[in-house]
Amino acid sequence: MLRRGSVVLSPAAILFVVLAAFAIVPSMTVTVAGADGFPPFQELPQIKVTNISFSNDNPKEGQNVTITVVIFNNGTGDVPNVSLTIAYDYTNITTVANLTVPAKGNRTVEVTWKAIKFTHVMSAIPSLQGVPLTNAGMTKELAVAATPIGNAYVVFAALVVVLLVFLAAVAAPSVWEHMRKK
Amino acid sequence: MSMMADIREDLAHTALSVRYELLKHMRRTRLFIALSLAIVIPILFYVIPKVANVSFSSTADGYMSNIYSFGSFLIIISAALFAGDAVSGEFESKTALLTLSTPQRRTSIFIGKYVAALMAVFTIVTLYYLVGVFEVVGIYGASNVPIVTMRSYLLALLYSTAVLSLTFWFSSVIKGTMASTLLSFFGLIMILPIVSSLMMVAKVEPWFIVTYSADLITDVFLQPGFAGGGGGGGGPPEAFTSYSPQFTTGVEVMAAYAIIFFIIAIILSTRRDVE
Repeated sequence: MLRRGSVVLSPAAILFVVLAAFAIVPSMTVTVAGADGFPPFQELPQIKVTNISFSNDNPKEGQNVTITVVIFNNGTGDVPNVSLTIAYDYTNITTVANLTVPAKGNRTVEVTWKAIKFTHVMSAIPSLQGVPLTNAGMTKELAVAATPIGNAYVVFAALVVVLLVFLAAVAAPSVWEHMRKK
Repeated sequence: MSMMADIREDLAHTALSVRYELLKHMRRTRLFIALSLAIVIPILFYVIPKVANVSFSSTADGYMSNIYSFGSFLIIISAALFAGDAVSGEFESKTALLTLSTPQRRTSIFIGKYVAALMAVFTIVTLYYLVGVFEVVGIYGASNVPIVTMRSYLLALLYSTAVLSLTFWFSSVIKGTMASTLLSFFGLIMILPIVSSLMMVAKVEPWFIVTYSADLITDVFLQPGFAGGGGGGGGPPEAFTSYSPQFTTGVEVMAAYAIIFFIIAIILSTRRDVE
């Protein structure tokens, strides 16, 4: 049956088209290749900082402390080009770049830092292609004691000087009078 | 009369003045109040954690640093109690008409007052440190008493002389006893620390302010603290710059305050007229 401007199918023909479509679609595969030839889907890197340790847990100001950071990769493939930023509070100590964390393995990074007195929050945050993976990072507190300041002799000497001035002040009027008489 | 004989007489007069002033302090309740504070404050640091079932600081240094952080307040309170009205009181209540008419130099009278107040403050500070040391011996053992406690104690004594000189100066400048006592108290407890804080906000180290130097009393204990000459905690370093006093500078500032304000106070007191 033919009408102007449209194709009119019989119900049997429509059923046939629908069934045919269902039969064909599952067998179709579409492959879209990326620019580098690899498929665009990649497994998300599963790296995480699992430990931060210090060569000395109670360092004093000015001492060198070796900070050891362990990054673990829980994924099935190696993760290259990892950068690790180690910082105290809001200040960077260093960023170690181009690290490769092996699949199901650890990568250890060691950094030496000259301790500054304060109770610091030490942090190690990995990043991939410049994007910090904050959730994969780790923080740990480190109390750095101040080195002993000054000595008692200086204070004692200052105290003696002050007390001598007080004593001199008692004698000063008499001395001044005798000097004026002379 | 030889010069040495004159000096000996002046010393004897000062000693007499000291004895009289000490007797006056003992008769007043002020000494009792200051002594009570010196005993109660460190005891509270021991009792409150016990009652609240909170553990003490992990180190003896930390515990002492906590106790003695109130040392500078105690010194200011004691100085205000013993020297706040030392000079102004004599002129306000007209007792200067009696004391200053004695055959005794004015300098020996006022130095005697100063020395008596200094002895009283030294006693308070010594008691305060002794109670703290006894507590540390009880909690951490005698072998764990920090050696720097002596340094802190000597700094507290030096700070006492500086605070007392400043209080004495206020007392010699201001007429009313209440005004001189309150001004010396609030000046040291509020005004100078506020000035220090404002200067830190402007990133200027307030090294010449005596209350800033007083931080050395607790800084000598090996506690992690703010980095000297900058740095900070709990926020970005740009937000607030905190300073710690340098040891030698701090000691020099305290000694300078003690000597300069003492000399000015004595000169002003001896020249003051009874109205």
